Amino acid sequence: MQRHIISVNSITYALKGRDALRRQGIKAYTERKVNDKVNVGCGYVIVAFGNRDKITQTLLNSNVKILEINSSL
Amino acid sequence: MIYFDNAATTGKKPDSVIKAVNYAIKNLSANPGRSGHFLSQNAAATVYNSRKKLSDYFNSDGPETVVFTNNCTHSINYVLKGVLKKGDHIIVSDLEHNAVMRPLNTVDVECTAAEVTLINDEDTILNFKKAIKSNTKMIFCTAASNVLGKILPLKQIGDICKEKGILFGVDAAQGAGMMPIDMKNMNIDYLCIAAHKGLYCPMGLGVLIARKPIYKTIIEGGTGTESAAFSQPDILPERLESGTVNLPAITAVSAGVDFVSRQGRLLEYENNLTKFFYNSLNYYGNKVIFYTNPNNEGFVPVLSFNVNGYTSNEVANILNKNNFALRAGLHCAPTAHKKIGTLNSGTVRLSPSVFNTVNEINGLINCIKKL
Repeated sequence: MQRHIISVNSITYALKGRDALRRQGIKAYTERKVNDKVNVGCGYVIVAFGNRDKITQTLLNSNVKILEINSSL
Repeated sequence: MIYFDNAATTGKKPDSVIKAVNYAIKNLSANPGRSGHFLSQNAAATVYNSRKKLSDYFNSDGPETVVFTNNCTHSINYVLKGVLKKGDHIIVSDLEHNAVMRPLNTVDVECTAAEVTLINDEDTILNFKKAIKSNTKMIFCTAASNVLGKILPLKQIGDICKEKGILFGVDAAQGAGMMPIDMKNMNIDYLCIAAHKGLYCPMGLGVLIARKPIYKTIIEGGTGTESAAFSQPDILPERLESGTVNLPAITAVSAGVDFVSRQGRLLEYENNLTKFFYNSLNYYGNKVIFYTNPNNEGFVPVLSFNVNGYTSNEVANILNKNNFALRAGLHCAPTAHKKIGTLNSGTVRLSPSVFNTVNEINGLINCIKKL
């Protein structure tokens, strides 16, 4: 299953996004960003598993702005 | 001491709120949203859950609209100083607390006070409508007067704002937790709340629910977001939450919302206490002077009075010595006192909570009868 690390604006949006994904049955949790790039997000990310399109659409529908998304298998 | 000064702060707090504060201090003593360890994340999740609860309770657009401040006055300052600019016109009511009037005194905007009629909401609505000008940016008004208890017709004022494209801000210090406030239905853009009053939380917490932007900040600092930048983040709620938040009180506000939600007809119960007080003393010779009649519709349980032959402070002092805690004076709302002609005398204010009883009101009545 694909694993996605999604950078967002703040811990508030990270938790909001996590809840939105979970409501859609998508496994997701928040954690501190390990490889922090300057000026990208707050250092918190959503880690989500599954279909990337469904994940991004769910977050957009919930007004969670995605700053960066890194996907891996 | 029998506490009747709940409009200043609710004296007795529910056990659930006290437990929540204790829990937070014992188990959540980590800075929320700053570190990556589980303790910080748990703390952040607690803050987030309180945001969600408040957003749902007041029907806002989501937890990200909920900002935690030091108190309602700070919330009001963030709105008035963060949104208004030179050349704007703002309409307030003629009952506003100094939390509104003093910040407005420092902002270079034109201000009109619309008259609130104490019996007829239709006239109040008309007065707000008549005050609108081409450069009116915002209507900002109290949900209910902290001196007279009068509830303003928020839904109708919000409808006017929506129709005219004007922002609508509400000082809900006296209303939140007591009366229904539905931000979406009432078209409220900014809602300022004193968590330590109608939501029965500890002092030191205010809430600002902002459905529209706040353009200027008045306090800047560390937010745990975009730390490499010297500029304040653009995004709420962190934009207005510089520094460490009051985690114990934020934990408690969830319990406070649950408590008031469970009470059912809380407003009716508390208003019955003020009605009983009024009905017992209103015709007791000419001893007690009242300025509103709580038997009329549209009041929160805040009742001002004076006793003939005594200043308001003398009455409060005597009541204090007899173990009744009430507040006397201008209640930081000279506008309301000007309206009822008590600017030089002030009033004594009775404001019961859900924890007060008829027996306690009886005791207060008997004490006043002896004056």
